[in-house]
Amino acid sequence: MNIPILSLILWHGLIAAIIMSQLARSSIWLQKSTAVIISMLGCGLTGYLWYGFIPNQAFQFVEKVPWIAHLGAFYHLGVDGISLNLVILTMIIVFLSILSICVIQEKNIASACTWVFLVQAMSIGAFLALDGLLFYLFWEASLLPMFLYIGLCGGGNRWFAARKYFLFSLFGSLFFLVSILYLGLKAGDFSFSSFYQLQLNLNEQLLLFTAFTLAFAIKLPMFPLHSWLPDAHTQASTSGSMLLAAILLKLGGYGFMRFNLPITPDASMLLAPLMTVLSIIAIIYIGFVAAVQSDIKRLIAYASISHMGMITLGLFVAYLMPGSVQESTRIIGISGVLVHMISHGLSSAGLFLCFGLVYHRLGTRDIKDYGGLMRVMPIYSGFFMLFILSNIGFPGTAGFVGEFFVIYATCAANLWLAGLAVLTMVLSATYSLGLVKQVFYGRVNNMQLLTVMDINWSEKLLLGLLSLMIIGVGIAPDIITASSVHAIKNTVLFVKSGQS
Amino acid sequence: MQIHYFLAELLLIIGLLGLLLLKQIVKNHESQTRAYVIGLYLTTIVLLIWTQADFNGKTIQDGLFIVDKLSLMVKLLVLGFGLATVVFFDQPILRCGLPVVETYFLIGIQTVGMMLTIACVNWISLFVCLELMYLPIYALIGLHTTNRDAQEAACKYIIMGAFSTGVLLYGISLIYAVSGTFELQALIAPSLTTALNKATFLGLDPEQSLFLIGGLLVLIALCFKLGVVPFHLWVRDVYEGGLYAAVSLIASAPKLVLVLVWSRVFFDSELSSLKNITWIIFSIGLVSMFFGHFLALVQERIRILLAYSSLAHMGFVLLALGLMSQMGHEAAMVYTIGYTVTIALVFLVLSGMIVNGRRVVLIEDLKGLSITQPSLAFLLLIAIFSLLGLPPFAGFMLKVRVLTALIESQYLGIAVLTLIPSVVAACYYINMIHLMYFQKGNEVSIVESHYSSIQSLLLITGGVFIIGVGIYPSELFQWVSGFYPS
Amino acid sequence: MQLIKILTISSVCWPLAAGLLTGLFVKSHRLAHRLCVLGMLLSFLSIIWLCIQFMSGSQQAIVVDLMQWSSLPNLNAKIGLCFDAFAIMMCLMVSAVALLIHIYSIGYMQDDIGYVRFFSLISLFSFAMLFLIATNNLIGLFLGWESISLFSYFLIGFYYYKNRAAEANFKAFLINRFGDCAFCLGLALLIYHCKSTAYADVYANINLLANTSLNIFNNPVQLTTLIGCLFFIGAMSKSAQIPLHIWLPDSMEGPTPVSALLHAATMVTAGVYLLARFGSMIEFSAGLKLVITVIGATGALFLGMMALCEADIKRIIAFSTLSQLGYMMVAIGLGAYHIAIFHLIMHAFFKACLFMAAGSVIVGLHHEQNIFKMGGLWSSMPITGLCFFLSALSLSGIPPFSGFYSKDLILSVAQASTPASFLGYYVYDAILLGCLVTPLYIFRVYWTVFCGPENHQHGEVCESPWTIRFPMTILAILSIGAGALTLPFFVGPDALNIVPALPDTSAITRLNQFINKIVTGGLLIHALREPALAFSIGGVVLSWIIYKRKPQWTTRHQTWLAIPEYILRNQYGFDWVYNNIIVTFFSGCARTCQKVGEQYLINRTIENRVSQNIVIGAEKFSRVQTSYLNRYFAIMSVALAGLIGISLFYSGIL
Repeated sequence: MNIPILSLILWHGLIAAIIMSQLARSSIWLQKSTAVIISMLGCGLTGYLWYGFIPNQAFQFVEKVPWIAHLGAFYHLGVDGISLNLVILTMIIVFLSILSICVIQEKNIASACTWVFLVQAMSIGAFLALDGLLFYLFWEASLLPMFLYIGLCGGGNRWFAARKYFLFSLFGSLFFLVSILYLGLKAGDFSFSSFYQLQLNLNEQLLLFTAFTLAFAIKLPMFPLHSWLPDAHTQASTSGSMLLAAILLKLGGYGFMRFNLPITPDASMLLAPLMTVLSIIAIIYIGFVAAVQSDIKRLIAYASISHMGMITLGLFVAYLMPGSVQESTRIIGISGVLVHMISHGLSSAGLFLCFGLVYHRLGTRDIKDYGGLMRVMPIYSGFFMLFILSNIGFPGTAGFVGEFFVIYATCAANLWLAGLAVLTMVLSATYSLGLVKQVFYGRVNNMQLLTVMDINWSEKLLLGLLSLMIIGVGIAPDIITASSVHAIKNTVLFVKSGQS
Repeated sequence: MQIHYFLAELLLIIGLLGLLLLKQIVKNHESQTRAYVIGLYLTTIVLLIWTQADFNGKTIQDGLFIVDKLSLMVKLLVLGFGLATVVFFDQPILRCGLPVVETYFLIGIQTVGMMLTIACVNWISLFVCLELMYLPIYALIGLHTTNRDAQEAACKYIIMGAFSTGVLLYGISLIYAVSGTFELQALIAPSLTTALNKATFLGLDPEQSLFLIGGLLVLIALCFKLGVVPFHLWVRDVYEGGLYAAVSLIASAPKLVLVLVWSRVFFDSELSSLKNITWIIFSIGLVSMFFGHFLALVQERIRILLAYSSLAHMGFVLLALGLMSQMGHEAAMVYTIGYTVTIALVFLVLSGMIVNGRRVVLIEDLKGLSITQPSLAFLLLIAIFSLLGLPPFAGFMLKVRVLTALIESQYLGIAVLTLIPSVVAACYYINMIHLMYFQKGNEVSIVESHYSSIQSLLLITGGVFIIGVGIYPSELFQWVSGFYPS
Repeated sequence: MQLIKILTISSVCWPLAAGLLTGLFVKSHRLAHRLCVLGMLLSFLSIIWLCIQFMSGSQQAIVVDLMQWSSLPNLNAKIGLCFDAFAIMMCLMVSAVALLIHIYSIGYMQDDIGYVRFFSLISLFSFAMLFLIATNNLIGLFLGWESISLFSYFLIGFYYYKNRAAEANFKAFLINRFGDCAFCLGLALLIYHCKSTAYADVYANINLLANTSLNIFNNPVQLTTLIGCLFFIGAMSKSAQIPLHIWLPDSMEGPTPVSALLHAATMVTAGVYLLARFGSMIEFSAGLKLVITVIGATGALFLGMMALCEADIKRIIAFSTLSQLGYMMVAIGLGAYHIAIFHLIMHAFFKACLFMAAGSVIVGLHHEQNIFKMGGLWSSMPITGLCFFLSALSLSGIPPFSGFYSKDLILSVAQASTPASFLGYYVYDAILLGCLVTPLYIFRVYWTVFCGPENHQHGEVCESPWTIRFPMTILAILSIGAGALTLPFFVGPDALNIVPALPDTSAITRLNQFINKIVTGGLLIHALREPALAFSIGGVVLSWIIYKRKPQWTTRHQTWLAIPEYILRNQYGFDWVYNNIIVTFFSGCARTCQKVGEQYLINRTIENRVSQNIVIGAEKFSRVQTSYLNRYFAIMSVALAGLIGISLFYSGIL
C-alpha cells in the first residue's frame, strides 16, 4: 500500500497553518489544543515514515509527478538516510516550539502557530525534494514565514533584524537560482541523480561551487557572512529562535551535502583548504567573540555559529585527506557532521527554550541582571546545565558524538588542523560555563529574582522531553549513523565515474 | 471587406456611440451606464470568441490586419483588463466628479484601439491604431479637471506622446524608403534592394544605414511607449498624476499590446538581424533595471515607487525580447502577462482605499494596514512578494522562465547581472511589508475601502492567479506557447 | 556465568542507581544518606566478591559487554567492563575510600541545606570513577574521564552562593578541559591508527604503533611518543602536575569530604591511572619518560615546600597531595608502574585520613580553617589527634607505616635507574629533599593544631560524632597495616602484572630484578642503607625542634626568612601569571575580536557603508527628474542621437 506518505508529511504543515489561521478568534484553550494535536499528528506520520524506512538503501518512498513540463521540472520527493533524520528533527523541534508557544505565550497563539507550521512545511519540503527547482522553491519559501515571524512576534528593533536576515538570505539564494537553472538546462531535467551524473569541466565547477557556497554559507552562517544570525536571534521570539537555530541552519548544511560535494567534487577538492581555514576561523574567532557577549541570546547565537564551523570543517576535511586514507574515514567524518547537525539542533533549541522560560519571567536578556539563579530555580538550572553540557560536547550527551567524529576525521587529514579544531572544546567550555557562572552561581543581586517561581509541570515535561533526546543521541548515536551510512557513501561522497 | 472578423470591434464601437446617444435621451442615466458598459464588454468577449473561432492566420483588409491565435489571446486579455478598469471606475467617478458617460466612452474606445493594434501587420495600420489606442488615455488622465496634477500629467503625456509618434513615423518612412512596402511581413522577404534606387545618403551605403536608422527609430518609439530608461521620463509624472484606476489601466493593458507589437515587428524579420541590435536592447534593459530599482529605493510616494519598479520590470522584459528568438518572445509575453496582472491588482487595491480622508499618497499611509484591513493587506503582501519574484508566487515562475530563456541562448552573464538589482528591489518591497505588518497599531491610519461584490471577486481572482501560477505554472506556460506560431 | 555478569555490572552501577534516585526523587536527609551508603556498600561487597573470584580463578580478566555505541566502519565501539588485576586493585581502593567518605559525610554535612544534592553527587562521582577504571574501551575511558571532571566541577561549586566557589570550579573545569583537548586528540589518533576502540586491540598492535611515525615539521615523530605526550598533557591537567596544578589549591572551596574523596584519593589519581594503563605507550621513548620524571620530581619538591608557609589546614594537605602526585609521576617516568599504583593506593588511605582528621577539627571548631587559630586540641579531640598523627607518620614514610613501603620503593628505584646525567641527579636529589620537606610541613600542622598553646576562643571543644570518628579510625588502621599486607601483591615474584602488554625491554627486566632483590632481602634492611629513611626521620625531628620546642626561632629569623616566605606564599607567582597574563590575554583578544571583528569590520564598514552609498547615489539620480518638460526633451533627444550614433558607429557604417 503506497499511500503518498511524503506528500502527506509535506502538506501536513500547510494544512495545519491554514487551520490555525482560521482559529485566530476562537478561545485560547481551543487554539492550544488544536495546535498540539495537529503537531502530534505530524510526529505520528514521521514515526510511521521512520518505521517503514529500510536503513541502508537509496532513496525510498519516491513520488514523481510532472510539475513544469516546459522546463522539465518534476514534483519529485524521496527520502534517504540524511533527509530522514533531518525531517524527524524538524518535526520534533516544531512540536517542541508549538508546546513552548502554548506554555509561554498568552495572546496571538494562533498566528504564531501558523508561522511555525509554515516554516515546518517549507523546510520539510526542502529536505524531501529530489528535484533542483522544487528544492529551490521550498528553500526560498522557508525564508518568508521566518521573516514574517521575526517581524511580527519579535522583540524591540525586530524590523532591523528581519530585514538583515531577509536581504542576506535573498542575496545568497539568487545566485543559487541561476546555477540550478544552468545545471537543469545542461542536464536536461532537474532531478538530483541527473545533476550528479553531469560531467562538468573545472571552471564550470568552480563557478557553480562559488554560487552554492555563497547561498549555503549565508544560510549556515559561515564566518564572513554570519552577522545576521545574532541579530535575528536576539529579536526573534523563543519559538522563532528554536526554529531558526534548529531547522533553518540545517538547510545550509544539508545544501552543502546535497549540492557542493557531489555535483562539484573537483572544485570542492580544489577549494577545500580555503573552506577549512574559514571554518577554523569560525570555530576559534567566534568562540572568542562569544566569550565577551553581554546578551545571553547573542551568546547562544554565536555558539551555534561556532558549531556550524565544526560542520563545514567535517564536510571539507573529507577532501583534505591524502589518497592513502580509506573511504571509511571520510564516511565517519560526514556522518559526524550529520550527527552534529542534529545534536546542535536539539541542544541550541533546548538552550533557547530554557532562556525563553526565564525571559518570560524576568523580561531581560542582559547577563548582568541575572545572578544566583540556582538558589531560586534549582530544577531549571539542572536542565539548563544539561543543555550547556551538550553544547560543550560533553561525552554522554549528543554534542560530543559529532564533535568527536569530526575531530577523528581531521586527525586523519592533518594533525595541525585537528589541534586547532580540538580547541573548540576549551572555547565552548569558556563561554558556556562563563555564562553559567554569571547566571547561576554567586549571590542573588537582582531582587526581582527572588519573586520568580521555579518551572511548573508543563515546562518540566517540555525540557524533560528535550533532555531525554539529547542523552539518547549521546548514548546511542547509532540510530542516526546506521541509517545514513549508505546515503553518505552514495550521494555525498559520490565520485563520478571517470573522475579521480 | 471581410466584416465577419471585425464584428466584435464593431459591436463595441456601436455600443459606445449608442452610449453617447443614451446620455441625451435618458435623464438619470448615471446608474445604468456602468451596467450597460459591463454588458457591452461581456457581449464583445463572447462575440470575439465566436467569430474568431476559425482563426487560421489569414490576413484581411488587403494586408492591413491579421487574424491569428496570438492576437485572439491578447485581445481577450485586453478586454479583461478593460472590464476590470470599468468595474473599478465607479468609485473615482463619484469621488472626483468625473463626467460618467465620457469616462466609460473613453475606456471603451481605448480598448477598441488596443484590439485593433493587436491585429495590424501593416506599418500604416499599426501607426493609426497606436494613435487610436493612446489618445483616449491622454484624455482619460485629463478628465479629472479639478486636480492640477492630473492636468499637468495629461499635458506632459500628450506632448511626449506626440514626440514618440513623430519618431515612429519618421522610422516608418525610412523603412518604407528602403523596403518599398508597408507590409511588416514584407520585411521578412530576403532581398530588399529591388525597389531601391541607389541614392547615396551621406556617402553611406544607403540600404544598410537607412534601414538601420529606421529600425532604431521604431525601436526607440516602442521603448518610449513601454517606458524604458532613456525614455522613461513621462512614466513618473503620469503615474503620479492620474487616478489609480486610470493608472492601473495604463500600467497593464498597453504593455501587453506593445510586447505583441514588438514581437510582430521584430519577429524573424530583417529588423531582427540588424547589427548588434541585441546588445542595444540588452544595454537598455539592464540600465533600466538598475536605474528603476535604485531610484525606487528612495521614494516616499507609493505611485512613484511603483512607477520606477514598473520601469525595472519592463527592462527585464526587454532582456527577454532582446533575444530575438521565439523562446525569448514567449518568455517576454508570459512575464508581461504575470506582471501586468500583479501591478493591476496592486493599483486596483490601492484605488479603493481612503486613508485619513484622502487617497493613498505616501507609503507611510500603508502603516498598520494588516490590523485595519487584513484581507487587503494580505492581497498586497502576495502581490509584493510576487513582484519581488519569491517562490510560492507567480513572480518567481515568470522570472525562472525568462532566466531559462536567457541561459539557454548562452547569455549566462546577463542572467547573473539581473540578480543584483532584484536584491536592491527587496529593500523597498519589504519596507512596504514592514509598514503594513510590523508596525504596531499606534499610528494606524483609518482605512475605509468600499469594494462592491464584483470588485472583491475580481481582486480575489487576481490573488488566486498569483498563487496558482506560483505553484503550478505549466498551465499558463502551455496556454501561451500554444498561441505562438512555431 | 550469568551471576558474574550481573555482579560486575552491578558493582559499577549501584552508586549510579543510588545517585540518580536520591538526586531526582528523594527529599528527606535520612533516606538520602541511607540509600547512598547502601549503594556504595553493595558495590564494595560485589567488588570484594569479584576480587576473590579473580584471585581464586586463573587470574584472567572478567569481561562484560554493555552496549554497541557506534557501528560505523572500523569505528564500531562496544562499551563494556573488564576487571583485570589493575582494575580490581583500583576499584577496591576507590570503593573502600568512597564508602568511608559516604559515612564520614553523614556526620560532616549534617546541617547543610544541600544534603540530598551532596549525596547524589558523591554517589554519581563514585560511579564515574569506577566506570573510568573498569571500562574496556577508549570511548568509555573518555566518558569516565570527562564525567569525573564534571562532578568535580559540581562538587567544588557545591556552595554555589559563594563567589569564590564559582571562580574555583570554573577554573578547575577549564584547566581539566584544556588537558582533555590534548587527551581527546591522542584518543582520536589512537583509534584512527588501531582501527578500533577496545583496549585489547590497542594492546595487540602496540608494536605496529611503535614503528609507524608521523612527520611534524617534516621530521618523523614516533606515533607512540606523540600519543604518549598528548596523554601526559591530559594526565598533567587531571593529576595537577607543575604548570597545570593551580586549580587544586583553589578546589578546597568544596566541602571537606569532597576534598578527601576527589582531591586526595580518587580524581587526581586518574592521570596516574591513565599513564599506567597505557604504560606500554610511554615505554618506547626515553625522552618522554625523562620529561615525566623531571616534572614529577620538581612537583614533589617545590609544590611541597609551598605548604611550609600556608595557614589554611586544607590547603596544606592539598599541597602535600600535589607533592605526593609528583612522587607517583616519578615512579611512572622510571617505568615502575606497579610501584606508582602501590603508592597511589597507600597515598589514598593516609591522605583521606588526614583530610578526615582536618575535617573533624574544622567541624569541632565551627568551620575554623586557620591552623594558628587552633591549638592544644589533643586533650579535647584525642582520637582525631591520634589518627592525624598516625597518617602523618605514614605520609612522611616512617618504617612500620604503609607510606614507608611505597615511598621507599620509589626512592630506591629512583636511585637505581635514574640516568647518570645532570637531570638524573636533579631528580633523585629533588625527591630526596622532598622526603625531608614532607614531615616538616605535616608535623608543623600537628604541633600547632594538637599540641602547643590553646589559642582558639571556642572554649569547650567536644570530639566529633561517631560517623566522623569511625571511618577516620579505619583509614588510620589501613594507613598503618595496608603497606605491609598488600606489598606482595605489587612487588616480588608472584605479583599481579598491573600493566598488560609491557614490552620486555632491558630496562624493565633490570628494574624488576632490582626490586625483587630488595624485597626478598627485606625492605627495612635495605632502607637502613639508604639516605631516604634518614631524611624522613630527620625531617620529623627537625619539625619537632622548630615548631614544638623553639617556636621563637621563626620569629627571630624573620628578616632573612622574609624573601623565601614571600615566594612560597605566592605559590611561585603561578596564580599571578594565571590571573594577570593568561586570563587578561584571552579576554583582551576576545574583546578585540568582538570590537574589531564584529562592530567595526562587519557591521560598520560592510553593511552601513554599502547601504549608505547606494541611498546617496539613488538620491542624486532622482534629482535629475525635475518634472520640467524642456529638460525631458533635452534628455530624450540626447538619448536618441546618442543611441543612433553609437549603433551606427559600432555597426561600422559610420
